[in-house]
Amino acid sequence: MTKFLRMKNIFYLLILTFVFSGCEKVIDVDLNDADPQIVIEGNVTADNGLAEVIISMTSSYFDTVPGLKISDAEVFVTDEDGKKFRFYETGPGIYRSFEMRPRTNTAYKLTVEANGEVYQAESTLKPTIAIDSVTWFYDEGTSFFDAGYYLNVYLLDPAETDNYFRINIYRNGILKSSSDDLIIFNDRFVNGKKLEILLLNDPYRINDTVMVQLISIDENVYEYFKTFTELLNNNPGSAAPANPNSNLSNGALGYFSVWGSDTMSVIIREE
Amino acid sequence: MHLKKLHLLTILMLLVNYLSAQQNFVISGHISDAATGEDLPGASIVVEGSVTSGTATNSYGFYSLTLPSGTYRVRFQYVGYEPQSIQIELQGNRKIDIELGEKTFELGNILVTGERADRNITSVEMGNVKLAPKQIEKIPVIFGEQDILKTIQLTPGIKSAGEGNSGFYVRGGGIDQNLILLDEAPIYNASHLLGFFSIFNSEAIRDANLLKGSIPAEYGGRASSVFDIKMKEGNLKEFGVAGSVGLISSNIALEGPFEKDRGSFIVSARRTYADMFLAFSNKEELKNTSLYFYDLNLKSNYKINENNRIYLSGYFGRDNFGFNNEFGFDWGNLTGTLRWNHNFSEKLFSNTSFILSKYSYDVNILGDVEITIGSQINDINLKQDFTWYVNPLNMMKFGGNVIYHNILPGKISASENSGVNPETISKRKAIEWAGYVSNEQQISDKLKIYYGLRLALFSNVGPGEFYQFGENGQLSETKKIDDFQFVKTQGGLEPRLGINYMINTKNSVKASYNRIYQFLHLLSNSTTTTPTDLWLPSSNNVKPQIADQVSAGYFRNFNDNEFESSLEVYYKDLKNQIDYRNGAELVFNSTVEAELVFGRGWAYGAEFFFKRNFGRLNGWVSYTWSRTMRQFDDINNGNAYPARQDRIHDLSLVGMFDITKKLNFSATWVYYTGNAVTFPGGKYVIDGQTVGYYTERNGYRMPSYHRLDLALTWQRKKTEKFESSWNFSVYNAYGRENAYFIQFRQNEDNPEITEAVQFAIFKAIPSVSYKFKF
Repeated sequence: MTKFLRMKNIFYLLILTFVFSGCEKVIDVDLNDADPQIVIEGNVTADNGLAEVIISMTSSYFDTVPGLKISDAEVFVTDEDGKKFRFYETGPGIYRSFEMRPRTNTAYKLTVEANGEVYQAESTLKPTIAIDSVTWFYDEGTSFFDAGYYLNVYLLDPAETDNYFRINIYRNGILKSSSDDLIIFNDRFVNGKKLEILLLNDPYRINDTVMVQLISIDENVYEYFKTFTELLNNNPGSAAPANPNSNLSNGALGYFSVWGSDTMSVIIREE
Repeated sequence: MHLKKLHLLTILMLLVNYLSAQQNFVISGHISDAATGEDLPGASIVVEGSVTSGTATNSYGFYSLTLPSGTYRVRFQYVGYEPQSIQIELQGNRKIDIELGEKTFELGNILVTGERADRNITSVEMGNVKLAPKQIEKIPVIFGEQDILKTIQLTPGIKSAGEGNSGFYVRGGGIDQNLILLDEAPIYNASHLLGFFSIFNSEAIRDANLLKGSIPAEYGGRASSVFDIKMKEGNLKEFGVAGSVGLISSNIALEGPFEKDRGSFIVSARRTYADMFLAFSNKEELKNTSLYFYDLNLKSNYKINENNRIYLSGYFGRDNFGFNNEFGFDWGNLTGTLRWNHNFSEKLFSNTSFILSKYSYDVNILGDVEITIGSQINDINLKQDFTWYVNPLNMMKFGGNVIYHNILPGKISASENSGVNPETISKRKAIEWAGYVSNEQQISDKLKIYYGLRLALFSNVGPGEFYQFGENGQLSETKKIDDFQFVKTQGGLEPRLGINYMINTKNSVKASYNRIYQFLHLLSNSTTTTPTDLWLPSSNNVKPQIADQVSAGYFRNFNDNEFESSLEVYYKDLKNQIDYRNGAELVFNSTVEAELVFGRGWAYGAEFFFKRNFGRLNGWVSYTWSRTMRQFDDINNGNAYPARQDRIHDLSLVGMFDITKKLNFSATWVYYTGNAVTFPGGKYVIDGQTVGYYTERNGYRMPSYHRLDLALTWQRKKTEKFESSWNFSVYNAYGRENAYFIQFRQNEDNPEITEAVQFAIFKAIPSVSYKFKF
């Protein structure tokens, strides 16, 4: 017993010194430039008929100028009946069409002819799903989240289909566009339920007008944005980074998406 | 059936005895530690004046030596122990149990692997590393926590999975290609706290043997290595308490006889308390955060009579992470081993083991809604091994093994109001079968050979769902299979060959060849092991991995075994390697097999090892030059690329120096080429976000890694009844900022600028621990 008592004293004498220090710094890395690759970003919306395709090239990683825009490309979309919608260049590398009125559950095929190559992609307009409600609540903040107002978005997920979503948020009329604002989800474990989407990024203040846009996308576009966000948030310990899974053919980077959306605005008021 | 086999065996044995015309007798028995009564495996028995007559104890301390009638002087020895020499009149079979007492040293540790000092020269084994916690306790370690999985990384051919990580790569194999056994029970996830600690509490471990070159036929199931870890057995003579107190964790072990010289037990427990500091935090949610792990090791053994002994051992350990009563995550292993040693005769030793092993994790989301996500793997394992000491020149081993695997890939349970659908993924069940036979044969004074054959088979059984996939990976057919209906059986024969040519007592050359099948594959979407990693069995869609390895080596000892050195070269070919397509859903996916891509790998290298076994300054130098490649049709445009762990140069220096009798200084220095990594070859903007453009898998290197660790061990007053020591150590003593990760991102202030940012996690980390024993 005395031994134990003595041991106990020694335990208390133990001096604890423990230093844990992480650190980050910008370093020089010698990168080999890959051959530039074409980047195509195509969006056709059922909301207001905006149809836009932006075409550019990749640039060297440490370049401070944006990648080259591709002008004089042949750009058009065909629908299931073979009807062709031509896109016109309205600015360097920006192509638009004003006559498209996409129909629900219809597939559209984008064709881009540039640099002597043909790139194609297909996207289907999914039924738009309505936002049920948007609520807000105040949180005092934790070590991970700042104090402020946070939003909950509710929607009823239709049980008969697999659904894929993206949320865009406009704060006082300005689209939030940090990499954390790219919100992608599906109904994999919540099919047919009333979904609650808690938006935890960047709290709001009193009198902010927040517009939530719920976009219904197709599975391939979801797959693109899922792998795109994985690449954006590439963390220590994650597997080798890879280009997002694009729906474009012929090695082109980017995506082509036909989508529709529902919006709802709220003004944050004191409770 | 059973009886018939036994008869056959007896007849065979009689035949062999008959063939050896001269009247032969057998000396057999156990060799144990005089102070604790614990077995001494690998102790040697040498007939003086003879080069070839001799043997070694097996892993249970049993030996058997057949000699023609006559008078012999036999020496029993074990490194670090006083040898005993006995005159034996051999006119009949003799049973001789020996107890050896530990040597007392004035100065200088022993750093030998417990066996005869020249075992590296004489044995046919190669590419093996043996460690005992006792011999490595002075080596500096991170957080002051001894860890056998980290120390093993200081030896040739074994590479760390990352900074401070207990995961390891062996000779170009993946992390899942190591069979980690704790008292014969396979461990499916050997790491605690995301890899910073292993589950092996040094206080509970007796020794550990890593096999990476010649892997004997009794082992199988993982393609690259076997790490065979044995728990302490418990003191058969007297009660004792040992323990240590450190910054991160404390442990305590109790051992003693429950019947003197016949039965003993040991219980050891360890717990970390890193989160206790959080209680002092002024943030409410940190106060309620828990982050800890604990381990419990139990072992007991009982000698029923001189021919029968039973052992019961178990391990239970869990990690627990909880955040503010909102979120809980716990994971861990459970194993149990019941063993029965039986001597059928002086020459036939048998061990029967019944083994359970389980790994599981649970994620709990608490509060007004409750959601639980869980996964587990359960094994029931029956193993029978025989060692037959045929005659002085031949030692045969044969046996078999049946494992029933029951894997629950995922289950979600959720309360009604949670808004989540409960779901269970169909269990994956399989039976792994193996049978083997091997013989170690002394051909001449100089030549010893080993040949063995193992038949390894794997059968998927019902109940369960099996899938067929179309060309593009879409599900084309789901088959429901009934209970215990066999679906697919795969596997094959695994030859195991080894040869040792002893040039003289100081020099030998060896060569070996192995084939090993691996039927369980780890799916992980990270580069280190994480608790949610999933083991996927081979099936109609997933072929077993196959490893073929040839290796050769030159072994030389100097100055009466004071120094030992070796040079080994190897080439390993890996078939049916597994990776997954970009964006794969690995967790909670019933058709995860469709996410996989298959390829091949190869690795080759040379390993140099030089060790001073004893003296005031001892330690070792380990250098490995190696390459590790992979080739997948679906990755990197089908071109071969270096695997992540393709570190070309890998150097470890380990030194221990006795300043005085009671003060020991030690240092390790490691250097290795950076991991192969994927960096962007360009960039572009999508959706307002700049991302990298990737063209080449693992085409770049992380900066090279190096680190110096220092430790000072101060032995306090040592008496019969009490001994204690302090250990002070510094990890990364010169504070090298080793790159843990390099991120390519937009500059926070100016998004036009993209930059590479290096993260380092550990600078110098001092720690202190106190050890005691009474």
